[in-house]
Amino acid sequence: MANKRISSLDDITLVGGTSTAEVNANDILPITDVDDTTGSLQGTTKAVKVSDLMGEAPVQTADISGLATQVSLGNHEALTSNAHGISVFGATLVDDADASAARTTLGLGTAATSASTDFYPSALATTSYTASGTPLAFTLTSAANNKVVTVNETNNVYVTVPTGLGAGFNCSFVQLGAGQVVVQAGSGVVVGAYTPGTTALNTTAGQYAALNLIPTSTDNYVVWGESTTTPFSNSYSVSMAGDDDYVDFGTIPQFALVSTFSVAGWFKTNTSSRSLYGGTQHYFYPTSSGFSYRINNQTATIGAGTNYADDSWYHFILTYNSGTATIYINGNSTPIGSSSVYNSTTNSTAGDYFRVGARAVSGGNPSTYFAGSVDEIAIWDSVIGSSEVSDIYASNTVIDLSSNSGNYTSSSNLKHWWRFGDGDSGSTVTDKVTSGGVDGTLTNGASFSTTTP
Amino acid sequence: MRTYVIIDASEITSVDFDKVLETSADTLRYSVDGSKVLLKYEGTQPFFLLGKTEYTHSEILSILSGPEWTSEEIN
Repeated sequence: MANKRISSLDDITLVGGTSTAEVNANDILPITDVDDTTGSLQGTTKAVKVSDLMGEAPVQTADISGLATQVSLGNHEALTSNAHGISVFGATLVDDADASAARTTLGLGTAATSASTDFYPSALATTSYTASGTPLAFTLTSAANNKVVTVNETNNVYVTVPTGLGAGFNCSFVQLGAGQVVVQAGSGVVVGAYTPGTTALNTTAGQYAALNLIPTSTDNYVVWGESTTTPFSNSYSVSMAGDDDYVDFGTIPQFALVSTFSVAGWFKTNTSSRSLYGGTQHYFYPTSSGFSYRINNQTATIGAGTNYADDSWYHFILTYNSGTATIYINGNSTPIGSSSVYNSTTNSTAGDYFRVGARAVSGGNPSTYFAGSVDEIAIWDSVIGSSEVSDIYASNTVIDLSSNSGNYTSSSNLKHWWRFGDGDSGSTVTDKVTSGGVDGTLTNGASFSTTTP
Repeated sequence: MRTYVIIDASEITSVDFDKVLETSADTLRYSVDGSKVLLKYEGTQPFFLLGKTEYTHSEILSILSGPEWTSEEIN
């Protein structure tokens, strides 16, 4: 038998005769229609109250005077959310068709989805910056105070927190694209990890991750949220044209009256090159037939006869040990050569100029420019051992020199390490060794490049 | 595309360093005798360089490798 809508009690179909009347179980009882309704059923007056229907589930027809058998009220329950203790308005919140209007009534805005632009409550003001340069970067301004800074880039974006944002400045970063947001301190600013003693967790953990910049005092912050350490990678180098461009690091104290030091890095020449790095009393450059190395104004050719092709990356390690210079190439623990150069110590009392892509002549003027690319220049105040060479080269990959790895055990002697683009922004080449670090400056058009070893 | 010009050292005061790729007057490359200076720029030639001979990268490298611009090792 098909369902039948009951508009009045007179419409209820009885089966089994008048003495054992039963309501057809498939009939639907509309609550509004039967509330306090008095009608005639087979000549008998019946009264039905809503409370009778709401009191029990399923409702027994016996509760309705004159009805003897149970009525299935599955359809009834669908009609009244009160049966579940949910208000009518509450029911609209969980109903797809009404949810939008209900959320609006509550001031919640539209429903959130992970990829929607309204992922955040509309009460939170958002702002964004245009990241530019290589690598992508921007600097915060006070306009971001109390706001969510959304970053939607494919590549990682480096955000510099400058001084002067004001006491109490705070904001959050949300990574909308694949590119992670790396929060780093500008000069005069401290950005620490929320958990003391941990490596700075200053990078958003992935797409839709949020990171909060929390002030602890003026120009001092901690970052907290869905964070991770900046993944170690090598995405940039510095490119120089061999005309007049170079990277200027000022003077390096590690070259002052020392008897031992080591310098390492990667280079790729574009044309027959000159100074890979240098100062007034020292320089180092590859030629088509070996390396020319000078210290304290004495020059030696090391690895003579070795041909270095243009447009190929090479890794070098130069060690200086009480007057003897040794050069290792591409991780080979057998050096390409050694030579006695000058005497036991450098002769500068205040360090020497340090340029990458040029040397310095009298007065610090640049000279002998390098054409090509340079990456990952590091200086130790100790002699790198031959057993360490292979693990620093690491089968033609760039490693984190701040941590020992395999046979590389000299990380504690690392005094300078410039990554030439990775973690840098603007024209500054940041020293990754923060204690006593010396930052460099891209000069005369030297630029960060995505060419890497 | 970078374009190169050579000016007299006496003309440095007329250089607008916002219009060229050189960082400042303190970082310029001088000829060996100090009488000339190298400049480079991208895009339109700056007004203060109008009339100067322009060189490509390969052309300027050839010039800079000559004795007028490159001395043997300087102590």
